Amino acid sequence: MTSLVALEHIHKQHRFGSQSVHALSDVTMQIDRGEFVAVVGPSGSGKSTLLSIIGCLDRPSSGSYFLHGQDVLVQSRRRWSELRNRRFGFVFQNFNLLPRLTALENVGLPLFYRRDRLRNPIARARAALDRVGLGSRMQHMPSQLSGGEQQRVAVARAIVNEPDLLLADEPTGALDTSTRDTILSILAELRRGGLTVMLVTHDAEVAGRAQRTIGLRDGAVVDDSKTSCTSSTSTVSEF
Amino acid sequence: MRSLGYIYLALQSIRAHMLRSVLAVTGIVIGIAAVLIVVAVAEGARAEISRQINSLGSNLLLVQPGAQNAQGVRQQAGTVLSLTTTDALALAREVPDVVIAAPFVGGQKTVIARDLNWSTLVAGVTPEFFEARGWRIAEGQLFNQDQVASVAKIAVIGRTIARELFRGGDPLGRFIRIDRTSYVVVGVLAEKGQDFTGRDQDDVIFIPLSSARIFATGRSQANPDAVHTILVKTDSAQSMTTVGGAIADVLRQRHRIMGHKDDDFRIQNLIQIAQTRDRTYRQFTLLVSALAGISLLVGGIGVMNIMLVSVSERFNEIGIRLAFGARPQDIRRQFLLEAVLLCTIGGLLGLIVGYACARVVPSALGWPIEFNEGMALIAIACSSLVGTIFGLLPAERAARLDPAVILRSV
Repeated sequence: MTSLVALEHIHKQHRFGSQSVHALSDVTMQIDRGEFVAVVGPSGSGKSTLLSIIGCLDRPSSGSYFLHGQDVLVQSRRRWSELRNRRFGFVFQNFNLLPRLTALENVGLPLFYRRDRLRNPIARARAALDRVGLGSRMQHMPSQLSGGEQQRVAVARAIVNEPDLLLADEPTGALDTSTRDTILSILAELRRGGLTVMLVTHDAEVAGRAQRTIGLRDGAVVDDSKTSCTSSTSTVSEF
Repeated sequence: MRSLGYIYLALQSIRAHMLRSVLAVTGIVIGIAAVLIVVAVAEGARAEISRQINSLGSNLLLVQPGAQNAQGVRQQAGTVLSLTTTDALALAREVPDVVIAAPFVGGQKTVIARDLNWSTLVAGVTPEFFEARGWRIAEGQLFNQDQVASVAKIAVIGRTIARELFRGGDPLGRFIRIDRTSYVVVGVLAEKGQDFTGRDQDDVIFIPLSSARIFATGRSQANPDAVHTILVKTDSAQSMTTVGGAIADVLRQRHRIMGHKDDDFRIQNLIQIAQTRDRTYRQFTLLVSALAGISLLVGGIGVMNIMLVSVSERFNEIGIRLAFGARPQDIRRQFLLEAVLLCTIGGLLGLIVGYACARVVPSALGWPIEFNEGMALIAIACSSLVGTIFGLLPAERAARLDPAVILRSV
C-alpha cells in the first residue's frame, strides 16, 4: 500500500542575501493514512519548513515528494492550489482567521476556492463548525471569540473540505492548558474518524498524545519513534 | 455566486478602511467631477453655438463696405460707405444664385418709450432682410414694401426691447422715440438668443430702411443711397463660394475697380465664421478635458498607492487564502476588483458632485450646460478603467506572494 506522504532526500535551503541556511537536509520519511504524527525539535530545526513542504506551501530545493504515490513537485502552481484546497487542512499557532469574516465565513473559505460547485456550502461549513462544538457561534466575528474558540473555528476550516492530512503548526502554542486539551481532544476525535494528523509542537505533553514522534535537529531527522500509547495503525520508518 | 462573493469581499475591505478608502478615491471624485463639469459646460456652449448657427439662417453672405485707406493706414470696415441700395438691387438682379440681397443700415441709439430709455441697435431694413434671416414675427406683423416706400414711422422690435422698454406690457401700438421721431410698434420678433459673437440678437429695433436713412447715414452724406451691409442669401450652400466671386465681380464692375486695385467691400460667410468658432471651441474643450483628465490620472495613482499599502498590510490574509486553496489568479481578481470597485464608487461620487456643480455653478454664471446619460455612463466607465489600470500592479504583487510566508511569519 502506498503511503499518504513519501518524502525522499528532501533538502531545503533558505537564502538570505548571499548566505544560505540549510533548513532541511536529506529528509526521508513516510506518513501513512490515519497516523497521528508529532514533529518535535528546537526552534530553527526545520519543523515549520517540513510542514510547509508537505502542505505544498513551499518547494524543496531538491529531493522528491510523492502524495498518494503521485509526484507532487512536477505539478503546476494551479494544481498545487488545488492540492492545498482539497488534500490538506492547515491549523496555525496564531489561528490566522480572517478578522472581517464571521466564524461561518471563515470555515467556508476553503469551500469558496473549490473548483467544483457544492450544492450547499453553507450547510457543509455549519456541519464542520458543529463538529468542533461551535455550532452556536457561527455568526460571531473572530474578535468576539476566545483563543480556544478561534482555534476550534480554525480546525473546522481545516477539515471542511475533508482533507487527507491535517497539518498543524503549534496549534496549542498560544493557548492555556485547558483550552489546549479541548483542541487536542478534538484532534484525537478527528483522528478516530480516520483523519491523518501531523502536528509540530514544542510541548512534550502534546507530542505525547501522538502515536509517532519525529525529532528534528538542524534540519535532519534525528528520531522517529512510535510512542508507547499508540493504538493500532502501523508505523513505517526507515530508522 | 462566486463573483458576488468577490464583490462582497471587496466592499467589506473598502468599508473596513473607510477613511483611507475615501481619501484614496478623492482624486477620482475630483477628476470625474472636473471632467464632467468641463464637458457639460462645453457641450452646453456647443449646443448654443449650433443654435446660433441655425439662427443665423442658412446660406448667408454678408457684404460690407471696405475700410478707408488714409495714407496707408487702413481704417475699420465700413468707414467708407461704398455700398448702396442700388448695389443690392443689382446683386439680386445680376447674380444668378442670389435669392435675396437685403440692404441694411444701423446704428447704436438711445431710444425712449414713455419714462424708460434704452440704448440699442436701431436697424433700417426692407422686408427681405427678415426673409433672409428666416426670422419670424411673434406678435403683430412685419412691415411691407409699401411701408418702406412711404417712409412709415413704424418699428418691429426684438424681445429684449419689449422687455426693457415696456416691462412686460403689450408693446403693440405703443410709441418708441428715436432721436426726435416717434415710431409706433407694429410687431415683436420671436426670441433668438445670442449670436456667435455673444451679442443679444433680440436687443434690436427694426424700422423701414427709408426711415432709418435720416439718422443712420445722415442726409448730408455724399452718398444718400449708402447702406452699411448687404445681406445676401444664396439658393444653396454649395454655391456660396462661386456666388461670392460673382458678387465681387459685379461690385467691382459697378464701383469701377480695375485690375489689381483693392476691393472697396468685403464678403463674409456667416456660417463659416460660426463654424470656425465652433471648431476652435471644440479644440479648447478637448484641451481642458485633457487637463481635467490628468486629475483622474493623479487620482488613479492615489488609488494604486493605497492598494499597494493594502496589499503589503494584508500579506497575512493573502497567505491564508493561498493556504486554503486560492490560486494566484483568485488573489489577483480579488485585488483588481477591489481597485475597480473603489474607483467606480469614486466615479459615482464624482458624478454626483460634478452633476451638482454643473447644475449650480454655470447656471449662476449664466452659462448654458448640457448633461446627458451618455456622459454619466462614460464617467463611470472611465473610473472603472482607471481602477483596472492602476489596480493591475497591486493585484499582480498580491498574486505573486509566496504562500510559505504564512508559516514563516509566525
